[in-house]
Amino acid sequence: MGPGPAASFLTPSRLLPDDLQASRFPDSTETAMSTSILMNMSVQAMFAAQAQLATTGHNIVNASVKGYSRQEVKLSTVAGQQTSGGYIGRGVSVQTVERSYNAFLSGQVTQTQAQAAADSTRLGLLEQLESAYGLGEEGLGQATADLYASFSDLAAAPTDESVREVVLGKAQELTSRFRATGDQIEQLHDATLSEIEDQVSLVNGLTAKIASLNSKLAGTASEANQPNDLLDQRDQLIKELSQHIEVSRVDTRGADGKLDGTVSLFAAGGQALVMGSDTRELSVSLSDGSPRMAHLEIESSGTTRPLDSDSITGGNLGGLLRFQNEDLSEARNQLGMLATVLADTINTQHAQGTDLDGNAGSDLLSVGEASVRPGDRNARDALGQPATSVQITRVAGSGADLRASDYELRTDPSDASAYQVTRLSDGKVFSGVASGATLDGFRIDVSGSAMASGDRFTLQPVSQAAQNAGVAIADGRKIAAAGSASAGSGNANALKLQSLATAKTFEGRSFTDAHSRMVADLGVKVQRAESDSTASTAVADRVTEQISSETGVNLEEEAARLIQFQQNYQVAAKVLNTTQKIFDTILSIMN
Amino acid sequence: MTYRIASAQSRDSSLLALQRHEKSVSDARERLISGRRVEKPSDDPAAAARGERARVNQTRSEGLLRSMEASRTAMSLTESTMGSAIDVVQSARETLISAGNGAYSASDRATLANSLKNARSELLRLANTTDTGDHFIFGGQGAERTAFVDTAGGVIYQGVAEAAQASEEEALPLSVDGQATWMGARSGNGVFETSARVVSGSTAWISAGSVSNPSALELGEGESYELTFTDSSTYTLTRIAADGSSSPYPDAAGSTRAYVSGQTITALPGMSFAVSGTPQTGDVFTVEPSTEDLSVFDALDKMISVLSDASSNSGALEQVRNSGLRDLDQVLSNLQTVRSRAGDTLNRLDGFESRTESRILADQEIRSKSEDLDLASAISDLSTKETVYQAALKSYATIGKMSLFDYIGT
Repeated sequence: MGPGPAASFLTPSRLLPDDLQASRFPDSTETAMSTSILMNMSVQAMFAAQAQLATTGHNIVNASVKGYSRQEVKLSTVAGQQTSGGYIGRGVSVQTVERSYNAFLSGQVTQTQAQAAADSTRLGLLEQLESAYGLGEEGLGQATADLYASFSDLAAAPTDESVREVVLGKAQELTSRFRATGDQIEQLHDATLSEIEDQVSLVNGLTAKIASLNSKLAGTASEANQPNDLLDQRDQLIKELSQHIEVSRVDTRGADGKLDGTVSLFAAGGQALVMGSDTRELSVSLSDGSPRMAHLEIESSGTTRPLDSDSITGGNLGGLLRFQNEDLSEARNQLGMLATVLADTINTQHAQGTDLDGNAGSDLLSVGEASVRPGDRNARDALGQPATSVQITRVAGSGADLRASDYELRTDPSDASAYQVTRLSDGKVFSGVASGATLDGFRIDVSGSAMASGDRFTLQPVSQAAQNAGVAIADGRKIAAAGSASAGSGNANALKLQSLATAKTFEGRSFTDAHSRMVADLGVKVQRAESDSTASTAVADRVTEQISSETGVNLEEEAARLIQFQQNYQVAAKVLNTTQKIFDTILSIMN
Repeated sequence: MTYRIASAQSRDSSLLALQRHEKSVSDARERLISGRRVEKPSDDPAAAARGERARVNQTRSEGLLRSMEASRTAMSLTESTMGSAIDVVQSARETLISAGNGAYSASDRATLANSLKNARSELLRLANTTDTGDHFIFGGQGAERTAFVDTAGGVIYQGVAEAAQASEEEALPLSVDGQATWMGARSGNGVFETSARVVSGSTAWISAGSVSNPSALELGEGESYELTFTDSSTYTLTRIAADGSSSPYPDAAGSTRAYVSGQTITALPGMSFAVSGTPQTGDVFTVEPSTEDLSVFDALDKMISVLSDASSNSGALEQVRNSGLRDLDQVLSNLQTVRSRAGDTLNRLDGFESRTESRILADQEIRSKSEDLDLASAISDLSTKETVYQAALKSYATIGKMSLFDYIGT
């Protein structure tokens, strides 16, 4: 190994490009073909080989670091010295160390991974939702069939109190299954809310890190030597961020129109999350009422501005919000509709009968009340309370009219004194609805001051029904098995109750059909989410494979390079050795 | 350009592939253990829905089977009760026939009346038969109150007419209409009913009569004929219209007729009957259309009161024996009808039961087809997956061992 400069290669700081530049040996003013030129050339070649070996080593040890891009030493030939005998080569020099980078593919990676993350998050949640619905023996279908079968047992022995207890037991079992499924939906909802909050704080952490890297990288874009490892780090952070929320990346240009080395990240259709070294924090806002719905807000000059949930399509947050807004709402309404209509149908018939003590039947089943969720930005009065309030009540006996949907109420744009109600499941609009009017089996009452045109109310006729389902009768004697004519002892009403099993009151279907349809719909939904997720994961995998083929480290290649660069080094040392021998020859002549 | 395989990425993706294989092996194993092809709706949504429907149908059919069983119990009980009742009525009939024996004294007749009393209370007991659940099977819709109560004015029905059913869709009777069974036989001979209102001392009585020409009958609802004795050898015929107005029959001139004891009277259209004995002036015999309100208890009560009355003369005895036999025959035929109807229901239940059972089997098959695992294919599926997994593991381990680094420096 040569003296002086070669020894200093061992210190890593000497590998920085600036230092490499500074330590360039050849000097164009050098006289022709001295042994010192030869010596310089070989030392320089050894240096280049060392730089290559070091870079290869860097590649090898970073091979499994996420986001690391393969680096390569760019060499250039030092221009030859002009002599009377022509240009004589003066060796090789290290120009810079480059990382393999593909802006297009790297953009593709963030985008496809965001989609894959959204799909797989939603799939996981849907699978959990699916497990809330028991099938077969443990299912709602079986419990309902058991209740109806117990009505026919009651018809066979209408005065037998033990049979009456069995009927109550079956009703308890059915309502407890409704409750259990409803509770599981609510638990899933709570878990989704806290997951959204976790995701948002992860996003804020990542954007802060990206912004701080931005400030380190500001102004480096135009330099000849790029800080490869910092760039890798930032790219990796952006990739991680896109797992949580889909962002679009713009490389910022300075006032002079040139890239300034920082990036800006935008989410939700153009809301800046990172601009240079600045970030804007995301936060989660929970709506009033029940269920509490989360939506995202972004910091905007001291206040917060809501983000449209529909515009957040990618990343875990995209999947979570879609699950909350679409899948959970739909599941809750479907289940609630089944519970409400079942209770209404049975209670209506039960009221027609007479119990063992000769009284008319009271409600047998109870379910959760209809509810209204006022919009967060509705007009408020001087005390900060909502200025207008809306109540809805289900009309007893109109169960067959109920639909498994939420509704949105606002003032009617064409008639300020009336309201417009939109059924959210299919977008059907009811215009000119007055306070006190009844639609789809429930009655709407508006009270308080006149509704502001910006006010929105979400009407939920059945959403809360299932998780509050129960049996309203504790005493078996109160089951109204008899028809109203024969006081107490007949079974006419028990027969009518039993024959409700096939009544088509659930959006025009029987309970069995409506329930099995709900189960099948959910199954189809999970299947579709599964194939979505498989497809988007496959796409993301393919893009990741493509980019890693370009920028990743192949250890065999590095091993081969290691041998190659070692040989380069050995050959350069040989040149030095030869030069030394020439020098010795000259010295011996002198002697 | 040669395709570079990034070592870390290739390791990652091979590992992921291994994990996928492992999951599919464990899924296949789980399915084999549970024996179910559809464990959650997404495994096969259509099959899950089909299975749910079949399961519910099966539960409903099973409920129907239980209802049928309840109905079968009630009908068997009805059938056997009717059998006993028919025996009792038949022996009462024989008792009544023997009452016609002219040699019997008043005390002999009182003995007969006693045996009829026993028959009456036996029938009342049968009419109040209960099933194992203490329900009166002849209680109709109101099966938990005593169906028949013996009051001073006779036996009255407390149940609610109309049989209770075990199902809305199928006729599965759980009880029998006691009113129709015990108090709903046709009065008279089934077409018309003859009755006597004789003055004291008269020994005249009227036979049950018979229909001689059904198409000639002129006896609508609410209409009746009266045969009134003006003296012991002459009577007049009167027709009473539905509105209560009466007129001589067939006309004022022809309405008065001479009386001959025991001679068949054919003066009324389509029917014939006979009056026997020695009538008194003012004896009235009426002919009315039959109605479905003959109570077996009332019929027996009438016989018992005449037989146990020592002062009953031969006319009264003949009258009660004759109309009593007529009534008991009607009661018998009514009880026979109820009995054979119960037998019919039992037969129908057999057919219905086997139909329901085969429906349950069909539903089970649908369920099994849509939910259950085909063991043979599941086992072969599992072994295929295990083989693939093994191969993947082996190749991963083998390829992972190869590296150029192994040859550097040797």
